[in-house]
Amino acid sequence: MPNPGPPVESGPAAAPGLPPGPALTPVPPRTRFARIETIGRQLGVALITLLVISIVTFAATNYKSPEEVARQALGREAAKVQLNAYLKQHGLDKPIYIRYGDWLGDFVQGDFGTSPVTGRSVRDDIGPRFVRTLLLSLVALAVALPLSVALGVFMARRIGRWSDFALLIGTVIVAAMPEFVVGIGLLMLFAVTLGWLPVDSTGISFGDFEAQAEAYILPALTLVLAMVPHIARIARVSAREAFGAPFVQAAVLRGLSRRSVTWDHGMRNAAVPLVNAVAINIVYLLSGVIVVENVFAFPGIGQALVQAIGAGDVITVQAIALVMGAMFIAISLGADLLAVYFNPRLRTAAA
Amino acid sequence: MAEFDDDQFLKELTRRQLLKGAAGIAAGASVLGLAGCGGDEGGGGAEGGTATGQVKRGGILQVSFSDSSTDESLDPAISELNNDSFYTGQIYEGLTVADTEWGVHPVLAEKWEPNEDASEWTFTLRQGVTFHDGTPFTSKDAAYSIGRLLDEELGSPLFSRLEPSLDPDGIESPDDSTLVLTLKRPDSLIPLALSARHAMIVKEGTADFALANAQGTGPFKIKSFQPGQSWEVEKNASYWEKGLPYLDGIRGAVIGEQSTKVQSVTSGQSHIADPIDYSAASTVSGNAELLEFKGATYLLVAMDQTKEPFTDERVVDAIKMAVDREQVLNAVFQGYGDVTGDVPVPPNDFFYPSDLQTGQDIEGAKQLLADAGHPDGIDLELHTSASYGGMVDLAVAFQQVVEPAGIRVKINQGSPDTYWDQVWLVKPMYVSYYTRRHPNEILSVTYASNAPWNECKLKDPALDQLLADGLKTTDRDEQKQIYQDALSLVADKHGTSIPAFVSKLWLKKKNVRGEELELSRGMIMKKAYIA
Repeated sequence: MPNPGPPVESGPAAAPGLPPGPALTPVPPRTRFARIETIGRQLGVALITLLVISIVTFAATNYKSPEEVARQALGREAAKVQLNAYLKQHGLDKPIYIRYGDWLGDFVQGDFGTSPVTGRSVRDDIGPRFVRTLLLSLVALAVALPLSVALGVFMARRIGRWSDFALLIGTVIVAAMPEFVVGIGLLMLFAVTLGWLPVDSTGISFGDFEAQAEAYILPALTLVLAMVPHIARIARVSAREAFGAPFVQAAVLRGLSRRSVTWDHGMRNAAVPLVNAVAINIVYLLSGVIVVENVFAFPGIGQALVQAIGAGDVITVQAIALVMGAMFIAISLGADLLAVYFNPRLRTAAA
Repeated sequence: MAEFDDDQFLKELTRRQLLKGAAGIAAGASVLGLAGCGGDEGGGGAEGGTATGQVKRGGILQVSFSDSSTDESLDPAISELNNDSFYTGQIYEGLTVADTEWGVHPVLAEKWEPNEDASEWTFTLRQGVTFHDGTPFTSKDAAYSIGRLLDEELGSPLFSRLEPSLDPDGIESPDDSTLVLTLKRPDSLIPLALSARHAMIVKEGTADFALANAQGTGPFKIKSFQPGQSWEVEKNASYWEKGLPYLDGIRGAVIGEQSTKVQSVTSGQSHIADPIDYSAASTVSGNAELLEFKGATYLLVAMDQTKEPFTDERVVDAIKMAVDREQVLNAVFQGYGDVTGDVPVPPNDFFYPSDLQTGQDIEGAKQLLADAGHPDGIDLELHTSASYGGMVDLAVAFQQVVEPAGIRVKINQGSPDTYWDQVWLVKPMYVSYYTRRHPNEILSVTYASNAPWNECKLKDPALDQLLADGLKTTDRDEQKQIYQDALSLVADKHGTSIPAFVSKLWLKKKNVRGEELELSRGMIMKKAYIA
């Protein structure tokens, strides 16, 4: 059991949050080279993954025959002549591998194409939505990260006590609820019963700054509640291991402040598993965004994805899926790099 | 002044004057004939004319829609969903507008006159009307707007209605206020056809409906538009009906999730929401109320009378007779609708025949089946799919209500993707649906011998003759006789079981007044206000 003793007021100044960077632990040149190699290898893997995603996405979104796509776009009253004209106009009469090649060629050049359903540029359509979704995710992350780490540490320091147990049960319950249920629950409480916040996020489309800001709160809160239990529980386990480690005991014996022991010594070493947990949760976050945006009618990329699927807008679905896929990969790549940063021993090994 | 009676007014007016073309209604009174929509007497958009009290000017009203798509545009000719029908209905106006009894009233046309056999129509257009950018509205704009509907490539739903009657060459505008349509055949229903939302007037030459080009003559003008997400319209200060509209603006938003949409009207920013599921109707309470749009649509069970066992008229009769319509209506649509006697118009339609049977007769059905050589009952396969709300539930309810008559129905649920290509008009028995149309239109497209969607495949020269006769006469009483005869024929002979016409359940805050539900355009807001 870690028992850091009573807090000492005048400990060495320790910045809260993340510990100082590699300036404190200089990296020898040989290792720096190895690190570049590692990053390069990971980037290569990421590119291949993206290519696989694009193939899978393309195949999945083209599972319908071209005739079915045309029928869905034109409705049941369209005549055969109109269906054939539609197929020709949208290049659906070409074989699937040719269509894939054309699409990929345009995509890598940043041309997401023109949607055959809407007749508009896909990039122009999803661009502003992507920015809103990104902002929503960042807001949620900015709240969820410190909150869940603090909660995890709080619980780790109280392991075996009733407060730890109660919080543990609480996080299990919240984690078990799908975003959909959490979102509707928050909506009923804060918007319907208390009337503090707008029911839906449609204010983003017209409102003034205040209306727009309010429209972010409930969707962000739902995402926070979806992430916090997972991260907090991993933070709790990591912190517990770290607090039990000999170097933490040593730090306590040296009379360092409780804050310094917890953050500089304990959590700095707990950060490696935590970073991976956070990365996985960000991936969950991005998929949760799709559900949450639709519950709150938030005009982001998740709503666009659902609408595009409903409209049979294959080009838009592909673009969104690939952009999200690229983000997933960027995040896990970032997490890998951060893990390397926190653990110098990983720098030469293939992550 | 005595209490004004809309219905009486309409009947008098439509019968005596409207179809003969006299400008019967003073400017400003567009009576749509629906409960709760008080028409302005005396015209001129007099304030305070509504039954619910003094109007309140100003304010922004929000409408939320589930039925929206990213492919919607500002072009009225191709609108198809609740959302695009709504906003185009505020921006643009047609030459005419129809009420629920199929009476046609002037909007941008002041009057219209047919020749003797209704094969040539002369419309006199309203003067002094301008588009939102200040350009005067003339017959050139009307000719352009109607002409573009006849281009099959545009894909307007009105193409198939207008094409048999009108060629682009037949549209002339001899002077700024006159539009002449020379038809390919007599068509007494042209003024009605032009009341459809797709025939609303756009500015001559408009092909690209970008925001700046979307110029209409309506009470509101477009301010912002993000397809599949939101739109805003603002008051047209120089609207030709003086004193209208009351609102400063309207904004529309897309809310896909139904429970959020309902809550948004009950406790949130939305004042109106597009139709909700019947099962959600009971959850509406508090500040919100249902706005029931009766007779909006119908679902049917179609039987192909060229295929066994439906070639025997007695089998078809037995099946139609065995349906407990009330029970189907309650089970599938929570009772929001009206039972009908197997005809494609609702009971409140002006042309509904008065003597149709709507009761269930199990014994009669058994007897007919026995006569037809099925004393032990009959086995049928009913195809359906989740293509349209209620289609699967209807099949299940149908299966249950006809079972006591010895009609054993096996339900075959198919994929919505292939349903309209591989089941509809192909299989012997399937579920289908339509929205409400004038009897001549719905009979012409789904029952006539040459109908594109003749689901029963029955060819009945008597019905074809009645439909042709109907297009030749502009006399309302004669029309009524013709369509009642035609509908009775369908109820008697055709293999379609139409248990009920169902309502659309819009939703609104209780303090919203003066909105008007209109057959084709959905909701018209020029007289709406927030109390």
